[in-house]
Parts: sequence; C-alpha cells; structure tokens
Amino acid sequence: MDYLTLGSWIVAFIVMIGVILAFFRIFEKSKPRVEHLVLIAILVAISILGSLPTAAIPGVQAASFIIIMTGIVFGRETGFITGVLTPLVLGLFLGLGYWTILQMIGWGLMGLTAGIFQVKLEENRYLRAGFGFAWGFFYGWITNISMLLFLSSVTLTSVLGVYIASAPFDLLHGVTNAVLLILFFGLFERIFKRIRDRYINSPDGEAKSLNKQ
Amino acid sequence: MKLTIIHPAVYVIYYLLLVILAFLYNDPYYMISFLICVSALIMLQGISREFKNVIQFFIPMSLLIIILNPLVAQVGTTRIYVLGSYFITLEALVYGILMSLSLLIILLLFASYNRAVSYQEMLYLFSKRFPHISMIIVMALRFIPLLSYRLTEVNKISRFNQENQGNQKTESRVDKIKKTAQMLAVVVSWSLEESMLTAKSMKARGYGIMKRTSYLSYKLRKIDYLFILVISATTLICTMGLANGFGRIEIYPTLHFSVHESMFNPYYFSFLFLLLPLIYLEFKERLIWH
Repeated sequence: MDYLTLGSWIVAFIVMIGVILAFFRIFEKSKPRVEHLVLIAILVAISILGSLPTAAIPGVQAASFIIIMTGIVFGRETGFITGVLTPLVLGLFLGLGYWTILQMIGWGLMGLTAGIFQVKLEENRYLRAGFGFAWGFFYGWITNISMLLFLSSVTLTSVLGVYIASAPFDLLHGVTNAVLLILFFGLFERIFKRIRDRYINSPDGEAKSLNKQ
Repeated sequence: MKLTIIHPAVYVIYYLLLVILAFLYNDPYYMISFLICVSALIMLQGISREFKNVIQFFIPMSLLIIILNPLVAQVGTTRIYVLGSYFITLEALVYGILMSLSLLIILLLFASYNRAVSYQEMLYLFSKRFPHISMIIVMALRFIPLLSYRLTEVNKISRFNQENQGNQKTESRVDKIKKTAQMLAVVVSWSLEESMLTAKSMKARGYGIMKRTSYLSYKLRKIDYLFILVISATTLICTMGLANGFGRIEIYPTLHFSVHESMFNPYYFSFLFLLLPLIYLEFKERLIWH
C-alpha cells in the first residue's frame, strides 16, 4: 500500500473514532441519570446475549433487532449509544480489532436512524420490516469497508466485488431483522414501553406512576 | 501474573505502530520476519489456541483478497491468460498474496493485543475522560453472565411446566422459535425491572456525587520511558528505511524483487529490534517463573 492511500485510510479511521468520541463526550456532558445508565447497560447486555450464541454465523443475530427496538422506543440518543457500545463490549468478549470501529459506526447509525424515524416506524409494520431488511444491507456495506483496506485499488469494480461477495450474509441479516421485527415487535415494545413510562420519562421516578394507579 | 508492569497506554501505542507498519511493509523477507516474531510472541503469551480462531476468520477473507485483487486490478506487465483473451496479471496476484499475509499479521497482532491489555486496563485508560461510558461497559460486562443465568432458570421452569402438563407431542419449528422468544421476553422484562432496582440502589449509595476513581492505578515509570524511547527510535529508523525503499518492493507495474538486496542492513536490524521488546519481556518472565 502506498503512503497516500494509507494516509487517507488513517485519516478516515481517526475521523470515525473522533466522531464516536465526540458523541460520548456529548453524552457525558448531558449528565445522564443513573436509571439511564443502567438501562443502556442492560440493553447492551441483552443485545449481546442475542448475538453470542450465533456469533459463528455472520448475519444471523438478534442484536440488530434489539438495537432497532431501542431506537424506536427510547429515542435516538439511547439507540445510538446502545448501538455503539454493543460491538465494543462484544469485542471485549470475542477480541477487539480495527473492524470493531466499523461495527460501532454501523450499529450506532442503525439505532440513530431508528430513533429518527421513531413515529413512522411505530405505526407501520411493513415500513418497520422494510427498515430492518434495508439495515441488514447497510450494516454489511459499512463493515465491508474493512475488506477494502486490502485491495490494491479502491475502484467501482473492487467495491462491487467485495459487496457482491458479502451479499448473501447481508440478505440473511436483513431477513432475520425483518422476521424478528414482524413477529416480536409487539411483545418487546410492551416491555420496553413499560420501563420507559415508568422510570425513564417521569422525572421523579416511581412516585408519579404510583399516583396514577 | 506479570513481573514487569507496563503502562497500558504504552501498549496501545506500540500495537498501533505495529499495525501501521504491517500495512506499510510489503517485502516478503520483512513480512515473514514479522510473522515469525508475532507468532513467537503469541506462543510465549500462551494463547496458541488463538491460532485456530484467527485461522478460521483468516482463510475466507484471504481467499477473497487473493481472488478479488487480480480480477479488479488489471495493472501490471506480466500477463497470465486464463480464458481465451481474458487475463490476470502476476503483479496483482502477488499483491493479493502479500496483502493477505499482512492481514494475517494484523489479526495475530490484535489477538496478542487482547491478551496483553486486559479489559480492566483498557477501561482504566477510558474512565478518566468518559466515566459514565466506562461505567456502562463495566455493568454490561457483569449483566451478560447474569442474563444467561436467568435464561437457564426460565428454561428450567418452562421445561418443568411442559413435563407436568404431560403433552409429549412433537413441536413444530415455529412453535420452538416462539417459545424461545417468549422466554427471552421473560428474561428481558425481569432484568429491566431488576436493573431499575439496581439504579435505585446505586443512587442511594451515592453514585455520581464524587468523581469516580479507578481500582487500578498506573504511573509512567522508568521502564515505560525506556520502552517509549526504544520504540520511537527504532520506528524512526524504520520509517527512514521505508522512505528509502528498504522493506518495500516494487510491485506495479513490474514485479522487482531480489533477496540479497534487502538483507542485512541497519534498517532491517532496527525493524527486528522494534519487534523484540515484548518477546524479551515475556521470555524473561518464563525464565523467572519456571
């Protein structure tokens, strides 16, 4: 690899890490409540539990489902932080590498966009399934960047070649997402919403919800 | 148990430098020395079984690299005709093989890094600037075994119920998936409720009132400065060598490589010297402990 290409890759990776750290900084500055911290930790743990049993098969995992659900129910900030931290903690289990950064970006954006389109995704089940299916591919395309590092030239054909090679796994990932979102959205939405309304949204904790009852 | 404690930040810098150098070198002679040294380091660190995991990951990726490179890059002068007038070039093939070799080195480097720097040490580096994020990571790491324990508990109960009801008929696959999801949902709602109790308990014990401190504590000591001095000096010499073309071979447009030219010059020895410190430390520990 020549110096120019390597230099631009290094700059690209530094920018990616910088963006992630900037978001972390914003999160730190926002003085999150303890409930919020514990909630994110448990969501990260749940999504890792959903992806550890099938870690050997790329594409088939429930982590994306949990992250999309988090984005839809708890909003974009929680979705993004959960998405970014999931591969980091997973990396501490299975081994970290430069690909972890790309996974962080991919899953983080997944949670962020799910939070942005919160209202629409909540209403329409077909849109939800389509969203999950599309993110199967987007996630694959983002993580594929780690393969492009090792090709002699980044041209349209080389990009296409790598992306065609990964297409079956992306398809599997997308189908898994869509199926999970169709079958189990209601079930998990109920659980997540209960926690949101009871502990996260009410500023003085449980007292308010007790009064309601 | 480590005898020589090195500041985790120094480790991070060292491994980062090695990864960048693994991309820059493409002389087979240097690459193979690199590979041998990293393998020796992994052996000494006692994670030889990691090789299997790495190789599992490496083979499909390297095949993709070796196949794709000649297909997409038709640069180079030595043509190999495959089908009629369709050709691939020798240069692109060699580039693919060398690149997959550097992929192998990088994968091994990360395996070794994961062994050398434990997650507590990494969180130590992280926790000064990002106390809340590192708290989340620590909690998530603790929740994972807890969740899997709860999953087995729920599983036990559901199996018990099934046996008591006495219906032994075979279930379809859809039923099975639905039941698994049902169980997961039970675990999720259980854990979410419990986690809110955890949050209350943390609040009651005064989380967030004072600045968070770390269990581990490191200071930059003499050995760290020595380590930094050695790696920065050798890296400087290596970079100078790279700028003069030592450690790099010309692949495009025509492959040009000769062994005797690249052997035995100060740049090569400084490169070896850069690889040695960790091997030396591990080796010393071996000698003292056994």
